[in-house]
Order: sequence, then structure tokens, then C-alpha cells
Amino acid sequence: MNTDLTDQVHDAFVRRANDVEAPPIDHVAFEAKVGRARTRRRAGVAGAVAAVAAVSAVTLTAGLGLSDLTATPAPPVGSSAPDPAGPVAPLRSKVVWVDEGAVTIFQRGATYAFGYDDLGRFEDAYRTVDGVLVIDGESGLVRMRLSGDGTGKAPLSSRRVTAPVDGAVQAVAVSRDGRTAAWLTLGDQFVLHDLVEDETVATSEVSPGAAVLAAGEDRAVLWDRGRLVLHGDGAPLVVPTSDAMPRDADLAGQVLSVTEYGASGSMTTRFYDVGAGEPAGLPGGEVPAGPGALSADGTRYLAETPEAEEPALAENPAAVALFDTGTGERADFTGLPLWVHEYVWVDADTVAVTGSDLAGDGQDERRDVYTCDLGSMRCVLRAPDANLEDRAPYLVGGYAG
Amino acid sequence: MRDSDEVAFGDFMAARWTALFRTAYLITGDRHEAEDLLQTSLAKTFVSWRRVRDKGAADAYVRRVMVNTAASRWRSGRHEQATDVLPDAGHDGGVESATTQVVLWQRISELPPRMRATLVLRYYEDLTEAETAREMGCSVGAVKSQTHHALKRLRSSLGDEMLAGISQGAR
Repeated sequence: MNTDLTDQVHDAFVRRANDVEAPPIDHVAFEAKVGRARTRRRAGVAGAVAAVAAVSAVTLTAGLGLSDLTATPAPPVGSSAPDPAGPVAPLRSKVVWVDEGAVTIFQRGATYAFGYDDLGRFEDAYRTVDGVLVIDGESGLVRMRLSGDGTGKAPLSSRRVTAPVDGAVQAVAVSRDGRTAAWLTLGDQFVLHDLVEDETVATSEVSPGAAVLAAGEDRAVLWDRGRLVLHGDGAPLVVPTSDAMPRDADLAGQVLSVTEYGASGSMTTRFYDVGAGEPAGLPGGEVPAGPGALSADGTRYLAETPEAEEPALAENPAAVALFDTGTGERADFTGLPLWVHEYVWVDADTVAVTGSDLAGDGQDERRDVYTCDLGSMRCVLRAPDANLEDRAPYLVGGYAG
Repeated sequence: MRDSDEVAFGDFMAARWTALFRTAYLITGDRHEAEDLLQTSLAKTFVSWRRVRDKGAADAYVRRVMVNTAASRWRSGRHEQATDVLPDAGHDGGVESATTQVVLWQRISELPPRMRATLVLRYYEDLTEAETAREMGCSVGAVKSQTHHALKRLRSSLGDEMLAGISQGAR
């Protein structure tokens, strides 16, 4: 019976597939999605599955396993109009996860979920100083403010506040401190917005096809008209890179990292001093590393290493290392899992890594959480299989708050 | 991305768009969802294109991204049902066969998304259990289990009369 039924299932699929007409490729929509995918990878996502974790130093140094934590049911947000943004109260937790049904924070040994089901599917999410900024399914921005610590002294709350812009955006980047957001409107206008003061601090016209690669505290780096350009409230500054669009870029402190492909396909990341005057390459600041994340002060770069050719279908594992942006010196971690899926800065002295030591099937599903101390360069398993079996959380953490 | 990579990816996307769209459609059951899912998956693939060492296996890479992306959407509980009603193009086996196909498709559409995706990869893409497991990011055992339960559900929901028709038609 199974054989007959499976034949019929096959026939049903083939006939349905042949009956459906494929739409033409929407190149505009595709380019927008590419922009978001680039931004997502820059947040530290490795692999095809966008699942990321960050772990607060406070939580982990207390020795708590995340698998022991319990989730508070998500209260419905409802569809009421957002509140005015008002004064910002920084969210203390550095640990923020997002999936399609909730924002979750880790705080004082427990997880707390804030529902936002009314948003529907989201395209991307970013940690801000007081919560998260989400690109919803219509490419609009939604700002959510989170507060509370779950102890009863500070009640948990989540609420939508007025988004910094109405209408659709092409791509967004948020600074490491979560205080500044940059985006491109569909009308190709670049906007730099102070999320604390809730005011736009810079705008400029850019060319169609421009992309926001990263945001800093007072500026952002864009790929525009075949050049890498720093946009802020002053005159745009061109970064002296090659003509090829960089694979990735990050901006923190007074340092810009730019990852490019070499002629042989090798990846190289260069560091630029963007502190004052014209951007200039840092002496020794060129390393054989892929996309990564700068520390908040820009002095260190956490990145995929050349041996981290990670494709989800390939055989070899991923790896990350730490680079000095001034000298290019590399430091390797000990105790990393065989597969590294994501990595993120927790604070100036700690990074968090998720991954697994599974060699075969299932390595993509498992998310063990490690923290790595930058003093000893040693990674320690903190939370085996971090309770994610049926979720696809997305990191929006790292330094903010 | 280097120019040559962009050209290669553009060629790949143009060549494989229709075939991958059909797979996306069977997974989602909805044309708009399928288009969005495929665009998103191709965008993710584009960003990682250099890392896809075996470009000949790019279809598999995209399918894997599609399944994973769809899975994260399913987990939100908002994409449980395949809802599209397509015009029936007619079938060689007559009215009875066509009716069977329509009912069978409806029953497949009512399966949980992961079961449906498993069937799509196994019986539309004709992947082995191991290949299906790799693309779904799960164990072979999970594929066997999903397939078993999916077929069991179909048998149960189709009823004896319909199953008899299927068996007869298969002879």
C-alpha cells in the first residue's frame, strides 16, 4: 500500500508543481533581502540557519545553565497604536533573543518572553539601547521597548513605541551601543537617527543600489556609487578601498573593518583609522580573516578565520579568532566547539560563542553556549544545548544596555 | 562579492528559479509565500555564495536554506496551512483519477509543515532518506519517522474507498 500511496504522492506533487506558474524574478525585492542577509551575517551569524545566542556575563558567571531556565508566557502585545518614544531607560540585560513569536531576555537566572505576535513575520531585528528594532514583514520599522527584571521589584513590560520612521526601509544597521540606527528609505535617502533623543541627526541622498554596511555612534558606512563612504553629520568621507564591494564591514570606536575577497578568493580584512580627518589604513592592520565584529573600542576584531570555510554542507568546522586591529596579531581560543555557529561580544573582556561538538547529523540543530575570556583566551561550556530545540532565535545582543 | 561570483550566481538564479519556485510552492502551498521564501533563501545563499564550494550542489544548498527558513516561520504558527487553489489542468486518468489527486493534495496540504516538507523532498525531489535528512538538518531517523507518520495520516484521512481507488489506479 505504501508504494502505491507514495507513487500517488509523487504524482500529486508533480502535477501541482507543473500547474503553478512561477512569477518573474523580482530583482528589487531580492536586492533588499540580500541587504538584510548581509546585515544579519555581520551580527555574527554563521551558516544558513539564522539562529544566534548571546549570553550576559552576569548570568553566566553565576554558573547558570540556560537549559535550566524557564520561559515566562508571552503576554499579547495587541494592535493598539504605539506609545510615544519618550525618555529612554536602558535595558540592563545584554542577552536578547528574538524569534518570530517573542523577544526573550535573560535576566537574573530566568528567561522572560515578550510577545509581539501582532507583528507577524519579521525580516530582521536589532538590539537597541532599550529593546529591539524590528524590520517587519512589510519592511517597516517597529521599535519595542523592554523593561523589568522579573523579580517583582521591576515589573516586566514590553511595549511598542513610535518607530523612528514611517514606511518601508531597505536596510538597517544599529551601532554597537544600540543608541544609533541608520537606514535607507525606499527613496534612496540615508538616515542616521539617535534612538536616545529620538531625533534624526543626519540625512543624505544616495544612489539606487546603495547599501548600509554598518553603523557607529555618530556615522555609518555605506557602499555607494562603487565606493565605501562614511556618512555622518559632516561631509561624506571616502574610504580608500578597492573598487569591489566589500564582503562585510563593521564600525566601532574609531576603527572601521572592511572584509574583501582577494583575486584568488581568499578573504582579507583591513582596518582603518576613522578617528579624525581622512580615513587611513592602520599600520599592520590587515589580517587573513573573514566577516566579524569589532570590540566596542575598535581595538580588537572577532572573526571567522580562513579555516572557517563553514558552509552548512561542507565537511570542515568553523572557527573564530581574535585579531589586534592595530598590529594584526592573531590570538586563538582554546576550548572552542568543533562547529561554531555564532559569536558575539558580551562585554569588553568576554565573547559568547554558540556551536556544537557533534560531527555528523544534528550539528546544525544543537546550540551549546560557550563563553570565552579574553584574558586567558579560554572558552568554557556554559549551557549545553541551550533549550532551543524548537525555536529559531535570533541574536540582537552584544554590548547594548 | 567578486564580479565573477555575482555573474555565476545570477546565472544560477535565472536557470533554477522556476524549479526552485515549484519546490517552494509545494513546501508552503501558497504562491506568495513560496515567492517570498525563495527570494529570502536565494538572498541568504547569495551572501554565502563563495562558500558553496560545489556549485553543482547549489540546488541542495538553496533547498536546505528554504527548509530551515520555512521551519522558523512554521514555528511561529502562522503558516500552518497550504491554501492555494490552482486551476486543474486536467489529467490523463479521467475524472476519478483527477478527483483522487485533488483530495490527496488537500490531505497533503493539511499535514504539519515539516511532514509536508519531508514528503516534498522524498517524493518530489526524489532524495534518499540520508539526503533528505541532510537538507532538513535532522537525523535519518527523524526523516523515517516523519515519512511514516505522514503516510499514516494520509492513509487514515483518505479512507478505504479512496485508498482502494489509489491501489486500483496504480495497477
